[in-house]
Amino acid sequence: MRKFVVGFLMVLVAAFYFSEVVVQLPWSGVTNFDPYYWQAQHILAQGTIFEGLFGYVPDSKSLGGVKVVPAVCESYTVSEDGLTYTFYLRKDKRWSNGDPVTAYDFEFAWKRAASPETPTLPLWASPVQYIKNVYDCKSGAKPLDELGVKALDDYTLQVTLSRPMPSFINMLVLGGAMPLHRKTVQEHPEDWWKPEYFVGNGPYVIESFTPNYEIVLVRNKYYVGDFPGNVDRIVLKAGGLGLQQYLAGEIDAVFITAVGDYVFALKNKQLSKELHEESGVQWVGYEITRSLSPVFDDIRIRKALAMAIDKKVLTDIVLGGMAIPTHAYCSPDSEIAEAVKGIPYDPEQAKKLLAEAGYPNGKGFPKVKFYITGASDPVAEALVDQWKKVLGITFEIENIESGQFSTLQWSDFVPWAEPGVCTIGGPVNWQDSGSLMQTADHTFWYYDYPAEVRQKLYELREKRESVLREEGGKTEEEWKEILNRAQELWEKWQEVVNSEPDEFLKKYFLLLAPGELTFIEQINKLYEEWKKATTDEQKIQLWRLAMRAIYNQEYSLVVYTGMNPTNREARRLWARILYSPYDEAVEYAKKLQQLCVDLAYEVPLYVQKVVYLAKPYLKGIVPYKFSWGPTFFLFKYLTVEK
Amino acid sequence: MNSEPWDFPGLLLNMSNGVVDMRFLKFLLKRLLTIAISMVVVIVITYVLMWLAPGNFFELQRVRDAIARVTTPDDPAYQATLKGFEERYGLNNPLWKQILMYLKGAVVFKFGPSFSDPARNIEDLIKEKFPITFTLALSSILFALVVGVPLGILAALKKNTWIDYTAMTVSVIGVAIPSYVVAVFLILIFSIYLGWLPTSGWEGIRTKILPTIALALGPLASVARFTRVSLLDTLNQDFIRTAYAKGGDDRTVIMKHALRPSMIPLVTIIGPQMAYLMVGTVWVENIFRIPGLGQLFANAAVTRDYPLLVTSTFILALAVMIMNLIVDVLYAILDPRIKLD
Repeated sequence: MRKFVVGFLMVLVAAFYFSEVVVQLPWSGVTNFDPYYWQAQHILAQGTIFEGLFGYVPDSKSLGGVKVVPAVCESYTVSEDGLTYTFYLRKDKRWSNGDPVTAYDFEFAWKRAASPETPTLPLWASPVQYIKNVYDCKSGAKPLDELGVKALDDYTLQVTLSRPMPSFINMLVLGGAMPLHRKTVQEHPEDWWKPEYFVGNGPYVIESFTPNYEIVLVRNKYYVGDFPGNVDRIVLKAGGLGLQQYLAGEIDAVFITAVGDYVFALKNKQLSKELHEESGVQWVGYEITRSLSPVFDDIRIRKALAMAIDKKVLTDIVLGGMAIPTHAYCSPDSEIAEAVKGIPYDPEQAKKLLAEAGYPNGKGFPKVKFYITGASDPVAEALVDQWKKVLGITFEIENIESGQFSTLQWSDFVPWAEPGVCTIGGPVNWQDSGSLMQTADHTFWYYDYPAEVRQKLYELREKRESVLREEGGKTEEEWKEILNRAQELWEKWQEVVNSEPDEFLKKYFLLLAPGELTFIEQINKLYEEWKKATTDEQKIQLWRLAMRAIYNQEYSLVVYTGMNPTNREARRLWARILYSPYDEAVEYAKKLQQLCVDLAYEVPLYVQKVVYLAKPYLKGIVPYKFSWGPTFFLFKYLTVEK
Repeated sequence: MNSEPWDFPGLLLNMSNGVVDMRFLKFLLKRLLTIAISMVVVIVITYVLMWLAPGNFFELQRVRDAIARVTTPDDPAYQATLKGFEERYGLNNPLWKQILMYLKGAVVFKFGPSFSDPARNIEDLIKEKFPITFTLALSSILFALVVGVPLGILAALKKNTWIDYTAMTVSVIGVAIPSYVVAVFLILIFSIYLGWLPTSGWEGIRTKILPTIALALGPLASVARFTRVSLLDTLNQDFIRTAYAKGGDDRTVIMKHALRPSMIPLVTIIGPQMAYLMVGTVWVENIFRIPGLGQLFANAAVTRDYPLLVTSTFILALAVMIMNLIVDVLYAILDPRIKLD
């Protein structure tokens, strides 16, 4: 009997101490576990099933609510020219099968991404795109050995970039920067990610995977490093009715995306206690259409429009409380927004400005449009209503097809568009310096020119497109002409560059083309290739490329000689943002966002809230807010309170 | 009736000695050929429609993921990605060539990878998911028959009583309310208020009950109505009167004589109902998070995942056509008049 009691107690104690902690969460969009694909698994790769040189930790004031800190990397140095990074890796990190994580694993993974044999891996979503010779490797022109990444020994990784990229380390958190277990990937090149083969280096590994249904994660027993949470097993469930699953107790946390669900949760006594709200990362607002019309060239009109909007009505009534007003191009509680002064809601001042611009009470204001897509847009309707009431301006709502709408939002010039506005937002993929402006860069790329310069730019753009349908460049004479013209443009360009007092703009922006070669180098390279070309088709193709480069250069020339002073200032700041380390870039972003807000071509209105319900015992939830979100991530923080 | 002989396979089926007539094989062959030609037409139409529709996978992704910000069309990163993408999927070929390549693969049931999951081939996805959707559809149709037929019989026998009215009202509601609305109500009642069954999933028998009912309700209503009308029709016929005259009681007459001929029209509706069910699974699978074909196909349409979209049309069209073929054959076996003619 005593034996029995002791045995029973032991079982009880064991059950209490060793009971598994399981959390069930909603999650969808994973097709496989290759982190280099731009599918939902790249989020899972970021610090859950993989761990990069760097990783995210929660930080509410930063862009996306996260901060970049070293993970596998222990320390690193950058060469003076900003091109060579040397990473020193931690020696205690292990793969889930016990192998050490080495610099060779990174080299292998990055070379795989740059290889011509993986054409569908999206390079743009990976820091590998900045590594030297990457495009030549990808096209097969150079062997992979010439890619600028090399493991010097087991724990030292040297990376050479094609041009300076101070926020390079901020990209090293991405799925497209993760190390891969060499042996596994070599043995099963197609399906190494399947649970039966998978070897990861994150705090969790995959136990099972049913596509579109369920992913089960369990602790990686070889994981070394910070692990604040206590969850042994995470079941990620795809699809279904989230709120209902939560109510039935089948999942422990769920995102609320519909206003109906939100209101239901707010009114429910129990649920309202389990509701968490944070501001999202993507701002939404409107922008002036990029027609060639001068209607909105007067800043007083643009400011009047912005001042006539009561954002509270939008967020609390139209959007049912699921949004927060913002005055900057980011979440209103971020450190950038705190430094930016927005355009206030001031109907009287708005009326006054419009009258000063020559349209008292909107009298005689030209016909303008509000473009929308989809079935309806309540935000557009609310704005049109407010503008009508306050300013007396009537915007006609026009519904256009989604493809056309995306052209309207993103193209540099849209000649078919009538003067008016459309909605615009700033999606963010990751936290590098370039993301800090979140689409507010339209202001200085597309708008801030005198009308005649805009016309000229539009013509050049048309020429650049039409050259793709023309034929030429078959004779030596034509090329001589191209070379002369290129030389002439290059000299004029040098004048522009030399007269630019700002070192940043000069050094990084004006001297280098978007690729790895300068304009004149590009033309010469094309000419050399042309001499070797054998077929007419090849020759015409090279001629087209050369002509495009020429029009691009001419375009830049017109831009930099014809822009407004505010635009020049904006570009100087932009160069500083791109070519400063992230923390410094934030400071410049504050100034540049202010400049763009003041110009009122793009007006931020609100940020969608990230809302989720979580059971009271569940702590340490980190929402992922960048593209593909909102969802949960950084699972090593998850804690269940017993 | 002036129809070609192959319209009535029953004429050609010699069931009495269990040997299949050569003319039946000819009929079958002819029908299969028609199916093949129809499939080609379906694929060509789907391809052309997609080609005409504005917007594409890459552009949608570009805008949604703000590649628009990090890249310009001249940007090497964008160019390299686009080029790799086009080459992998043969999008740089003219449309007719793309269609031919697709057809060539479809013959041996190879569809290549989808846009959104470049690491796996579509046929593997389908092989993985088809059994799930098939189980769901089949169990729903069985449920519809098991409940619908007795309901129809009951309504017919108790014609113009409150039983009849109730049964028919219920079936009108069943036809009128789409499966996804039924699904939500079922979840609310049985999972949340009563807490008897899980809201979703596809493991064990308990998770399968609600989706089966949600999907079955529409066909069930149709089956009940058809059974009722058909049985009433049969009961008015001469041979029933004769059966009664010979002294048969209700039970014998209905079960032995009336029911079998009344079931024949049912067979004709089961085919289309099965097709209707396949479409219904798109909703039901999404609501109950069942990892079947419906979920896969719905995603394809939303993301403009063309290879997957064409293949889903291909599979659904094929399923409907094969179902119709089976119904035709069954019809011949079941209908004694056709056989004896």
